[in-house]
Amino acid sequence: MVEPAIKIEDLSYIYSPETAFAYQALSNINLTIQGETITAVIGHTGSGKSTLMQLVDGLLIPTNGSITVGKVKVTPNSSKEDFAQLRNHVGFVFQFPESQLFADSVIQDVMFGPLNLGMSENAARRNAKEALERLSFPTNLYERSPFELSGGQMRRVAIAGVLAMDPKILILDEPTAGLDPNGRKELMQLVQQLHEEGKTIILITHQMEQVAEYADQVVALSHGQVAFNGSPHELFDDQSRLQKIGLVAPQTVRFAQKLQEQGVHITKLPMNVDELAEEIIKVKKGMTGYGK
Amino acid sequence: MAIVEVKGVSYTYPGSNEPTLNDITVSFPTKEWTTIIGHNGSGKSTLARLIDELIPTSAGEIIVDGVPVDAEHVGDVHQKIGFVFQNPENQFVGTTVEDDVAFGLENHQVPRDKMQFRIKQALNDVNMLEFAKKEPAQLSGGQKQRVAIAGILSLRPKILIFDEATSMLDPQARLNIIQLLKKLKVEKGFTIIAISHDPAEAVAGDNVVILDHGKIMASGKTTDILTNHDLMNRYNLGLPFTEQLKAKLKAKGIPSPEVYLDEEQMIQWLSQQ
Repeated sequence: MVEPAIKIEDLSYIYSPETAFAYQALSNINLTIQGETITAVIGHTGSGKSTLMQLVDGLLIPTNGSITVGKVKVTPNSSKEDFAQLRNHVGFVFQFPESQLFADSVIQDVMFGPLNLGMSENAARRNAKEALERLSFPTNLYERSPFELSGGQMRRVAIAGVLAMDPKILILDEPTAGLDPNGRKELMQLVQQLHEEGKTIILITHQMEQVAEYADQVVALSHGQVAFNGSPHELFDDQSRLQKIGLVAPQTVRFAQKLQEQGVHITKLPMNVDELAEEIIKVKKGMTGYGK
Repeated sequence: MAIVEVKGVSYTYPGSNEPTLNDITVSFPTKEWTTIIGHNGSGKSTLARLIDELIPTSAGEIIVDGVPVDAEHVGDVHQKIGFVFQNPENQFVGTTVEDDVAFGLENHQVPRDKMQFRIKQALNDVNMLEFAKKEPAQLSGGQKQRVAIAGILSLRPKILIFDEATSMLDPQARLNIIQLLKKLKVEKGFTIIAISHDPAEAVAGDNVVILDHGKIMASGKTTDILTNHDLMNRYNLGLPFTEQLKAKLKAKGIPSPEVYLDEEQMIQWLSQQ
């Protein structure tokens, strides 16, 4: 049995408290994320997703409640060291991480994180190389300035920088945003591979197609509260709840539902285009109720 | 009539051996929406930046609404073009949402009484009016992008260039923006140039230009380009949703119409079978 990787209890967060700009981003969040799973965190813009993830990474101090990652628990009164501990367990790949590249060469940029954790030059270099290889990053570009790379390559360097620190938990905030279809596919394959290697993955995404295809668990936030916590199938099956949270089902699900309204009898919610085509073919060939 | 003409344009980044754009000739019809698609590194963002004189053209000629794009006319060109970038983080200058939109208007010396109206209208267009008094730190990336678009709309340019600008929005907001752009194009006569690698976004436009390795590989009506699976696959562009479904069905022995069908049309066709 895999232990819960993250436990969040009665967590609240207020930006700029006691000022005219005070803004309650999260209220009373209770949540458990199991180890070695892919959890999608979704919600409308401004629902509190990014705030929650920054709290999990120890980048913000909770206003109330607690976060437990492995053996580390932080509360509003925790010390700086505790928050630093949290960051050691959690790797955070931000939106457009390539905007944070800074070093003179690719390899130095990727080594920065491990060096910062106190690793020796040699160990940091080894970790950096491993991380870059994992991302199939061309070796002849290791000494290049990261700023001479294409957007997709820069993205991979930035992700390698996080992987090189070998975190147990990896948070990826919209990792495929701005990538072309090929780049998107490659990146999601990488996420899948890291998951199979035993990492706990948290995927912040707007892409319901990704949720349907990859997530084991999905947490939907709405106005700073947990509006749903369960499987993708459960989430997309309930149209009225989806609407209430302000989410749109994946294209395949919506398409299947519209077909149903037109009297085409679809038996199973399709989570991708292949499944949708199969459902349509079943109907066409009059073979309803026929398993996959 | 083309409002933007690009003639024989090449561009090589300083220090690079290979040209990013290689002898590009293309035109963008007035009051139409043209999407430039191509994968990362194909040169599409470079082309957009050359059109807006954000980087100087080294070879060839670009004409925007009758004005040559060069150092002498950079002010005129910027009046005519509103450019929305991919990353909203780099575009926020105000301390509140309404200040951010006001910034551009102040730069263009719009009188104060008109300013208030234009700010409200622009924020309303992008569904951000209720956030007018918020600080940027309180906004998500998608919300910031909507504010950036409002800032551009408030300046009322003739041509809007979107460089992957909706890639950070959630699906509903993205759809809203695309609907809004369609409406602005029809009602206010904007010319839209959208840079995207996502064929699903190209669906909303009139024309598509495919760029690969700095060269134009195809250009034409959206419906003609997107239904050409060989062409789209050759440049690794992926297919819009209904075309993906058509391809899967065809592979399993169910042929569907050759012409482009949007979702509604596809559902109609399937339910009538």
